[in-house]
Amino acid sequence: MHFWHGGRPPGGAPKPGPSIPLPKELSTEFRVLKPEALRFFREGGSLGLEVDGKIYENVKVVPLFPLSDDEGWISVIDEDGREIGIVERLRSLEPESQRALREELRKRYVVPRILKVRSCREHFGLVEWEVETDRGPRRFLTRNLRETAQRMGVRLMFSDVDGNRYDVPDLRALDPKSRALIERYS
Amino acid sequence: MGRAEGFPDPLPEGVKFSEQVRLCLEADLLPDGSFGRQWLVVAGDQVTILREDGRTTFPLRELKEPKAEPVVGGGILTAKHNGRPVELVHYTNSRSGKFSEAAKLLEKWSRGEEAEWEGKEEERCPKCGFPLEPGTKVCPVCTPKRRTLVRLAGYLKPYWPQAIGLSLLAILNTALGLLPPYLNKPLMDEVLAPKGHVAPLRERLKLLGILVIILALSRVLMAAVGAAQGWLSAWLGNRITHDIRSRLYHHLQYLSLSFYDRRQMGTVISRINQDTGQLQRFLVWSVQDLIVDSLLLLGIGVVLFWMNWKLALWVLVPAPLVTFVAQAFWHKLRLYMHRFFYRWSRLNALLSETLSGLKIVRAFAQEPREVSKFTKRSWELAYTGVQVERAWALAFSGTSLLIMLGTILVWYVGGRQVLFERISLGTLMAFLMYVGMFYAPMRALSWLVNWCSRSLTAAERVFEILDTRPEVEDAEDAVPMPRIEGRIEFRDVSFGYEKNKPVLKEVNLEVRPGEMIGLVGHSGAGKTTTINLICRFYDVDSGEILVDGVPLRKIRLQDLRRQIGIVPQDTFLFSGTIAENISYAKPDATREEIIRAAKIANAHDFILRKPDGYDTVIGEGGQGLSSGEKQRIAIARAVLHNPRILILDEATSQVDVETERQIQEAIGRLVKGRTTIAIAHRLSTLKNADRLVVLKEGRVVEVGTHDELMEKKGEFYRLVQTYREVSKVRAVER
Repeated sequence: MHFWHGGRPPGGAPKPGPSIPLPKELSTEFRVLKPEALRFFREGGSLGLEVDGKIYENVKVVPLFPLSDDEGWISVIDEDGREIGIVERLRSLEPESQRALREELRKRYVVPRILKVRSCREHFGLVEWEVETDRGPRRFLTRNLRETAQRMGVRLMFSDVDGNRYDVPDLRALDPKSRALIERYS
Repeated sequence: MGRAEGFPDPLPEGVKFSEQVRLCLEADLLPDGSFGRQWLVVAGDQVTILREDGRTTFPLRELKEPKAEPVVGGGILTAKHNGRPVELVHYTNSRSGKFSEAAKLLEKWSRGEEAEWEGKEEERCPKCGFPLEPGTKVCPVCTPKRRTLVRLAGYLKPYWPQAIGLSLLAILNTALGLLPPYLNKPLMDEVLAPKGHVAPLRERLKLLGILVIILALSRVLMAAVGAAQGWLSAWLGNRITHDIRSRLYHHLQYLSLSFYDRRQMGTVISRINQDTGQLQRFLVWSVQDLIVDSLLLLGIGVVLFWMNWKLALWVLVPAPLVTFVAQAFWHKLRLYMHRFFYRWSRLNALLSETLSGLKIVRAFAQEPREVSKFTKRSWELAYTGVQVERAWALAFSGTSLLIMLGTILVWYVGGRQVLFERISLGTLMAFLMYVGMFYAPMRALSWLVNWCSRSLTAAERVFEILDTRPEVEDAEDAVPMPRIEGRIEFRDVSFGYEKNKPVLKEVNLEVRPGEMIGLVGHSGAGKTTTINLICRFYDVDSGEILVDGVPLRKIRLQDLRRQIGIVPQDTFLFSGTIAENISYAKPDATREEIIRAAKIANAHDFILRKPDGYDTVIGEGGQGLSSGEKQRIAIARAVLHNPRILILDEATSQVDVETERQIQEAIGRLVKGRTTIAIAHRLSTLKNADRLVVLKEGRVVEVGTHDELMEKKGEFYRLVQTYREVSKVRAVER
């Protein structure tokens, strides 16, 4: 029997990305949304955008460089999956808009950042972590980090047994104890 | 049943609902995205979102289109309330399975249908909390190490005479090792520095001779036993590792493809290479050291206490320190060693990547960057290497110092005892030699224990694979099917690579024997998946596939696959000659058969123009052949295989018009008299097909001949229109 390629890319099970339908026409135009001409607003469970007087309801936002630049390059997509444009800098928005957008981003891109490792215990080949994250305290289980962790320079990302990812943007920036604990298991 | 108080999760304490609670699910994110607890409760006709600080309630009937919307890292349960989208609860990946189940349930309930929570009881290992794969009870993580040891020992069984021999040799070696220091005692007390009664010189010379000869003999014997022991243990260790490695490879060949979907190929390869390698080092060296060192430690300890127990107590003073220091350094050492191996593999990865991408590097003039990248990583490796060595050196000198401390203590305490004539000089000398021998195994053991536990982890990883049952297996009542007619039926087939995401939805299809079916549809419509299911690379989630009226699950896999031939889109050729590749499925094919197959595949004419004809060696991945040539070899392979069911994943690849015609011709000959399922991208193939099946988003939307479907002006018609527009553009570009 020959090895059958196809179906899905090789490698581990892909982590689901945001669920946004592909539009009929793909976007070819690079459009940066001018901060002074736009306003994000919250309405019930969804985010709305007013740009140049035009109102889009129920927009989706996707960080384009969530790891290397979490303060900018946000793609804004309308209900049909068409990209309305890109927000280049979060900080350039006026406070109200900025808050609404940041709130939405935090819901759509759930990758907690580890600020401190409280404890770390190995039992039965699993490591139980108790950490402080930018989303509050969390307790989770991982397998051996060496198999699951992704190192990108000083950054370390790893997944727990449920497939949740955790981000340590800069290992050197952690306190010595947290760092030692992470290094011991990775 | 006792489900009243919340199901599947318990209601938070102190919360009561007047109506019956039909569903309670705990979520682990708060509306602002921080971690925290929320509950989705359905009680009676009310949906309640329960938070620590309050609750929101919706009437079930007013929630429209409930959906579990995936986001990066988790999901949001959303619905429409009065036409406006509302976000009900947020959760991470840990809970996403349950909430997508809940969304389905909510939808049925809001439509007034009867439904029950069907979400599988999430199976987690009761001991360590690791999520178990459905249907298994054995936790892959926490199977006790003891069991692993027992299993490893099981591999020793066929070699038990050698194993017993090895143990005997180890005991002999230890006993022999204990002899020379003991000879010191008579050497000192009787020969060199006797006290009290002194024997005549001739007697002493004679005794000296005897003692020296015994000493020499024992050393010779020790060397011989040591050599035999080393050889036997290496033989045994390699044998056992070979057995395990072969078993592993055999098993990997039969594991279902979904096993590989879930893992990176690299980690699978590393399990075969690294884990069995570590196991080998463990079995060849560590086990032997472990036995010899423990025996030595025990033997010397006994001798020391037997000779002079008061002095022996002093020996033990630095013992805990030695163990402690060795342990402490072990952690550092392990960290550095990991780092070292990690950087080593990274350097290797970079090397193989840039060397295989050499053309691109040159084309974009990035040589300096690649050089500096490599230099940087190489330096990192060198630096870590130094760290490793430094840690080793420190650990070694540290423990040596402590050991010396013990010896020095014995010198002082024992020396005093000699001066006060409580013991003889010979006893002290013998004692000191034993002390010197005592600490080495102690130091080694404290490291070995750690080393062993790591090796056992490697063994566990290997056993984990061996324990994974092939998902696609022959049923016990599987029937042989020596000749398949070629009738294929799909009955309500649904399937998804991940259980929550169906790729094929309730597909019904009937293919007559000898018929050629063209599968048409956008990418992602489920064409390749359909083919994967016919080959039974995966088992369907629901529904049934029948071949000649027999369910696929009941047909012997060997029989099924022997009669299915594939011409894949991206041709995979093994390293070897062209002839070997053509005859891959029929290794005993005659030269005539091979040439006939190549002729049918329109491959003969280009093969004879290769330097060594059919014996031309093609490298890994078929280097040295154009993609059109590779494709035709794959067709020849399928021709020789002579399958009853043929599967074509037609290449759209960049072959020129003439080659395309040749391939078409070859395919035309190949499909005669066989049931053929073709994924067709080109209109030219579609014309050959008896019927076309149009797939859209996992469903069959149209079936019919080319002309029928064109007349119908439906989905197929639109596809053809798009195709024509694109090819017009291409024609202009050419």
